[in-house]
Amino acid sequence: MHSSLFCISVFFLTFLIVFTQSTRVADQMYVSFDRARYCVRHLNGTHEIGCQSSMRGNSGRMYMIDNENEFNSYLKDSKTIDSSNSFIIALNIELFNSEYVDKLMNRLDSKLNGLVIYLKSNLSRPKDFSHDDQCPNHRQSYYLNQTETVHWNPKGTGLFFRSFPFPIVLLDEKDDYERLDKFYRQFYNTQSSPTCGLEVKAFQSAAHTSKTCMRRNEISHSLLDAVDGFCDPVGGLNIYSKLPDSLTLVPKQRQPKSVVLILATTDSFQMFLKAQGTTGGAQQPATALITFLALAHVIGQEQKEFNKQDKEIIFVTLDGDALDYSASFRFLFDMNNDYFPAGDKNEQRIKIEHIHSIIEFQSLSFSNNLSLYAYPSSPSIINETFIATLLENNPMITRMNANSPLPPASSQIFQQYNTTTEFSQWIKSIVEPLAQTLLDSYVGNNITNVTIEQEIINNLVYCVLKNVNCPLIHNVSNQSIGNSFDAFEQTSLPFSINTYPTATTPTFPFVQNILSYFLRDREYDKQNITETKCLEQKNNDTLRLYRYVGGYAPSIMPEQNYSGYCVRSYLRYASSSSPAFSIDNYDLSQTTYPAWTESRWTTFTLRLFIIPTRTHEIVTLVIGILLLSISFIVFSILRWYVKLDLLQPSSS
Amino acid sequence: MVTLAKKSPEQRLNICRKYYLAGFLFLPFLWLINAIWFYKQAFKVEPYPQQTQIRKYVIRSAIGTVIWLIIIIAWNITFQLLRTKIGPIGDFLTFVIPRGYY
Repeated sequence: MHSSLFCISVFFLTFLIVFTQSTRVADQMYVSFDRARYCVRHLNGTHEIGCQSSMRGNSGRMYMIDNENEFNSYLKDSKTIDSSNSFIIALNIELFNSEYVDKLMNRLDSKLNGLVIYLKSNLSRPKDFSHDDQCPNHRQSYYLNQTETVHWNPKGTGLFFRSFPFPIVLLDEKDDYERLDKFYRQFYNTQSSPTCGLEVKAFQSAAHTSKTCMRRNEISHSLLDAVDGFCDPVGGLNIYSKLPDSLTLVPKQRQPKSVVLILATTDSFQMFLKAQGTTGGAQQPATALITFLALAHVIGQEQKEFNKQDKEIIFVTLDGDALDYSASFRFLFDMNNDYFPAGDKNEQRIKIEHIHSIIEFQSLSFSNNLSLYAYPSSPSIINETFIATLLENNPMITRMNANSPLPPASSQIFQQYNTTTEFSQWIKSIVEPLAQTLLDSYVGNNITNVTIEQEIINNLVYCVLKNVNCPLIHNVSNQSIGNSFDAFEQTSLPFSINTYPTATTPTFPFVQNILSYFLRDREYDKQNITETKCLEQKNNDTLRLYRYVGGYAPSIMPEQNYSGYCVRSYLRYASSSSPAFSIDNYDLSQTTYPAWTESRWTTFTLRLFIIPTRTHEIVTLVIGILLLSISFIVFSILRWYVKLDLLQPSSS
Repeated sequence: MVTLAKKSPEQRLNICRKYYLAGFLFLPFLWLINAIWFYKQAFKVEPYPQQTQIRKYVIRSAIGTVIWLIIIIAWNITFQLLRTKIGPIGDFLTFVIPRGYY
C-alpha cells in the first residue's frame, strides 16, 4: 500500500513538472531594461566624478517628468514627495542639464535615489547632447599663457565632471521608453493605488582618487584569490604607420625637421556607457578618422612620388585625448624617452627636433566652412607657402587669425547627415586638395591632380558609420583577425573612453589593419607570394609587417588578379595611457601628467516593479503569518492524533 | 568535559596556574575563561589550602582581561576614526579593503 501511494505521488509530480510552464516568481515580478546605458565613476589625481549606486542596488518610487511644467509642479508637490522615502526620477533627456538636476537634488536631497534619462524617439534627438565642460580640457591647456577661457562648447553641461551619490541611467532605445511609459500610466493615479518602482544596480568599486585606487589595486591579504582590481587607467593604443620604404636605418642619421605627423583620435567623450553591445560616444571623431584614412590611401597611392623625397610622413592615431590629453602626453613622453618609433633598434628614433610639422584632423563637421588653425611653436616658423597652397587648393578652408585661441578636442552634436553619398563626396573634396598640397609642398614638381576613388571613401564611411563587420575590413586583414569582427555586425565603429588593459573594442584592430594596408608597399603586391612564404618573410625582416590577405580591389592595380596578396607594411603601436602610470614612484596626486582611471564594475541592471499599497502589504503579511501558524497547528494535530509510521521521528 | 569537582585540589591549582601563565602569551581569552571558570572555586567553595593561590590567579586574570579589553577597544576606535586620515598605512593595515567608498 505504501509503495503504490509512493508511485502515484511520483507520477503526479512528474506530470506537473513536465506539463506546466515553469517560470520563476521573480521573472513575473520584474520588467528588465537590458539595453540601458549607465554612468560610471572616473577618478583623477585629486577627485572622483561620476555616479555610484549601493551594492544591492538603489530602488525607489518612480516618478516621470516630461517637461518643464511637470517639473515645476513636482517640485511644489509636497504630498507626493512626502509619500515615499526614496524616488527614482525618470527625466526627459531635454531636461538633463545642470539647472534642472541641481533643482531636483536640492528639493529631494537624500530622497533622490537615482535618475533615469529617457529619449522618446529617434526623431526627437536633442540637438545638443554634450556633458563635457564648456571649455573642454581647460585643466590641461598646452598653451599655458592663453588666459581667456573661450566657450568652445557652449552647450556643454559639465555634468560628466560632477560626482553624484546616486546612479544615472540613459534609456535611448525606442521601445524602452514605450514600455516605461505604458507601465507608468497604468499605475499612476493617486497615492493610494499601487505605483511603479525602479531599481538600478550600478555599483562602482573605485573611490576617492586615482592614487588611492591604484594603491589598493596592489594590496591583497588573501592567500588564495588573485588580486581583484578596483580601477583601470584610461588609455588604449597609439597606432602609427607610414610608407614601408621611408625608413631611416642605423647608421644613417635622421635630418632635423624631416618628419611630418598626421594625427587623428580614436576615442571620444562619453558619459553613458553600455555593458554589452554598441557603445559609442559622439560621432564627430568618425569624420576625422575617415578623412585621415582616406588621406592615408592617397599617400599610399602616390608613394612612388613621396618616396623620392626625404620627409617621412607618419600617420598617428591617439587614444585617450578626451580626458586631459592623456594620449598626447604619452606620445610626447615616448618621444622624449627614445620610444618613438617602438620596436627594432635599427630604426633611428625620432625626437622633437626631427618634427617638421603636425597636421591634425579635429572636429570636422559636415558643412561648407572649415577653419584652419595654424600654430607654430614660434611665430616666425610658420610655413606660409604650405598654408597658401592649401588655401588655394581648397576654397572651403578659411584661415583663423594667429591670435585666436586654440580650439580643444570635442564639441557638440550627434552627426545629422542626410545621405552618405553626399557625405562621402564631401570627404573626397577635403582629402584630395590636402593630398595635393602635401605633394606640391614636399615633392615639389607639378604632379597632375591626385584623385581617390569615390568607392574607397564610400566603403570607409560604411564601415565606420554603419557596419564594422564590412567587406573592406575582411579584405585587408588576415583570416584570424577578420573573424573577430563578426561580433560587431551592424554596429558602427565605437568611439569611447577606453581603459588599459584594452577591452574587446574593434577600433584598434580596425585602424591597424586598414591604415597599414592603405600605406602598404604597392610594388610588393606584384610579387605574387604564397601564403606560407609570406609568413616566413617576417623572420628576415623585423622592421616591417607581413600578412596574407584577400586584397581590396579598388586599391589594387587593375592588371593584377590574384586570389590573395602578401602585404608588406609598417605598423607600430604603443600603450596610450598617461605617463603617470608608467613612471616609477610617480605620485598620482601631482598635476604634471593627467591620471584618469575608470572604476571597475560588474553588473548593470535596471528593473521595474510594482510597489503595492500599504493595505495590500499588510494583508499579504497577515495572510503569510496566518498560513504559517495554521500549518504548524495542523502538523502538530497530525502528530498527536494520527499515528503513521511516516510521521514518527527517526530514532537512529 | 572537565568537571572541577572530580579533580583533586592540587590538580585544580595546576589547571588554574597553566591558564594564568599561558595567558601571558597574548591570549586574553584564556584569562577571561580562567576568571569565570575558577570564580566559584576561588570565592564560593569551602576554603582549602590551595584556594588562596587560586584566588590570586583568578584576580590577576580578571585584571589582565580588563586591561586587554581597554587596549582592544581603544585600538578599534582609533583605527575606525583614523583609517582614512593617516595615508597609505591605513590601507596596508586594512584586511578587507572597502569597495565603493573611501
